[in-house]
Amino acid sequence: MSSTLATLRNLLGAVAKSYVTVVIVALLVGASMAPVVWGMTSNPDGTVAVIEVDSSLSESSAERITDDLREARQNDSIDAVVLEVDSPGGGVSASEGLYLAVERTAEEMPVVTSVESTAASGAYYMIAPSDEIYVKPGSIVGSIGVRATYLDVPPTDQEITTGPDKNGGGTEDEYEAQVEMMRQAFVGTVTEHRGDELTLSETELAYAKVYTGIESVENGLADDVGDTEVAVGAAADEAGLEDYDVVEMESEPLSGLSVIIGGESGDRQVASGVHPQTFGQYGAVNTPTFLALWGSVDDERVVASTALERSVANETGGDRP
Amino acid sequence: MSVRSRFVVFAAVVLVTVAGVGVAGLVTEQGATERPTVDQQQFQPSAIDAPTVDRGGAITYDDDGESKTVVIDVAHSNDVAEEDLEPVVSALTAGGHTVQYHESSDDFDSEPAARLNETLRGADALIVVDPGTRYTAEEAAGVSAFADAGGRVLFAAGPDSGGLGGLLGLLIGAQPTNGEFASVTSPVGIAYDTGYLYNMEEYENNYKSIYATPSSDSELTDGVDRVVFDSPTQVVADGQTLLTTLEGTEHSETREAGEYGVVARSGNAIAVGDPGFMSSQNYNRADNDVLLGNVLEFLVTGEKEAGVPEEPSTERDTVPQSGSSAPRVPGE
Repeated sequence: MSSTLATLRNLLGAVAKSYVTVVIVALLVGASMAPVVWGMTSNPDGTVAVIEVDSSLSESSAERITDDLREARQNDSIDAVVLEVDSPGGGVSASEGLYLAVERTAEEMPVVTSVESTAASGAYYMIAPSDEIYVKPGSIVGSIGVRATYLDVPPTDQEITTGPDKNGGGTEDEYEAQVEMMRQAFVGTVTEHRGDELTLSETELAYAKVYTGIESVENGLADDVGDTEVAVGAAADEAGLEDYDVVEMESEPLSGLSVIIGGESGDRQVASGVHPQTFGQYGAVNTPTFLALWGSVDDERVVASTALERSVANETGGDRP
Repeated sequence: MSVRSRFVVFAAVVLVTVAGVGVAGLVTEQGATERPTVDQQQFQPSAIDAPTVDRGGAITYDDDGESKTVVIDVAHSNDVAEEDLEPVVSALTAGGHTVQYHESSDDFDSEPAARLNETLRGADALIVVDPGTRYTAEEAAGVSAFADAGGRVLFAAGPDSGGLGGLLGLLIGAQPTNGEFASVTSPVGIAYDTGYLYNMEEYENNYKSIYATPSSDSELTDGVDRVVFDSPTQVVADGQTLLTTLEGTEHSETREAGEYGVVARSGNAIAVGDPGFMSSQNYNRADNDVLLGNVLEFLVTGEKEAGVPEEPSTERDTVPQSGSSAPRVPGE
């Protein structure tokens, strides 16, 4: 019995002392630690954040995009931003606010834009400070101009007002002057940021034409033909990232309001961030409004516009062409 | 080591650690919140300039001392409101002249030409703004005869308002409205174009508010430096072009740049390519008041023969059938 135990002990001792055992144990330990060490030594250098802009630009959709841009600036792990844009523009002030947010971000890190189908009017305003703008051959870009609209004529004869412009806000001449000021800021912004590439004069810009992707690469409103993945790669290059992660920034879920507005159309995709105030509808109150928008709004009445390519205004709220 | 000394060591280590981290945070100033500013030059008020529209002046004109009768046609669904003509009506009335409106009759009008001619026989001048329905050949003949006999005529019309020229106009099927106008302007040697004129380089706060300057010396352009029209349409006349737009003005349909005639004269008729230049809102912009004074002077200083235009001599039955005869279809 004791001899058997002794033999077993010798055998175990031999196994324990054998190199094979040592190697096997070492391999097991090494294999379990290797991924950790691999991860420590070969982590991506940084992250490219993709921010989606896929609705008309209203105060609410602008707020979400502005928050995403701020998050990108404050989050140390984000090294570059790609704007994935498909928008016909929207409110003038919403577009101006987004422009400021994009430029603020572009001062800190590379910002590259990928135009999906449309980046017109206010949406182009917004992306003007991008380091690079990529378009598809059939994308639509441009429409640099502003229009003043009112959706409903305020009544003037059945109330007492304290001044002649309490209802209208001003004369048509004054609206024209205001629209002209907004046009100057808009055209000035585009020439400021795209001036080196542009082959269009300020006057040509002010026509507010829309251009296809191919045309916009030729006239300098865009830099190159490419899709979002190309834009992500370019952003990573500009940020000096060899190896990088891509993060889609959060886009807001549909608000209940937009579902009510667009939900009647059945299976049509409802644009998120519908915000009627941008179009002058404050509940039961309608106000004149300034739009940097390519396209028409139901029941829109144009007071003054800065360009030829104004919308086909539905003066009577009738059918669109 | 006693339990107590062990506890002291433990507490000291914890304290030093926490204090060290706190001091480090203070020293490194991590977590300053950004305070963005807006320094964009193109957003500063100093970089943006939209001058206020200059208004001033009054309509003044000389006449030959006779009180004349000026007829304003409103029988052809004319797109003209009171404020569009108020300055003209006031200036004529203040000068001792009579302003009459030629209205359509309430019931079915089988003799529009006879009624118009009757009005014109008692008139010295006629103003036609933006008609919406076509003049019959007989009516047009009456207006033509009136002008040939020394009656003064002012035509004023613009493009279809709504700013839909060219491709967009075609898309929504907007009809050019000047077809109605041609029926009465052609016989006196005046033609209205379609589409509107605009200028992207030189304008008064909006590309559609454009300047026109005299292109020839005439009593009608006397004292006029430049006038402002809102998206006028081109007019051509078998006579004299009086005012043209600035060089670089473009046509909404062809997009061709050039100097377009917007005020023209053919004999005793003047045509203006903008119905709004006489309105309360526009009559005193730039030199519009001077031009308007010249136009009114032209209207009230004509010498029309009496009795013209005569009754239309048509192949109507000599026995008048009161109100029951169908209107003749005018030969196109």
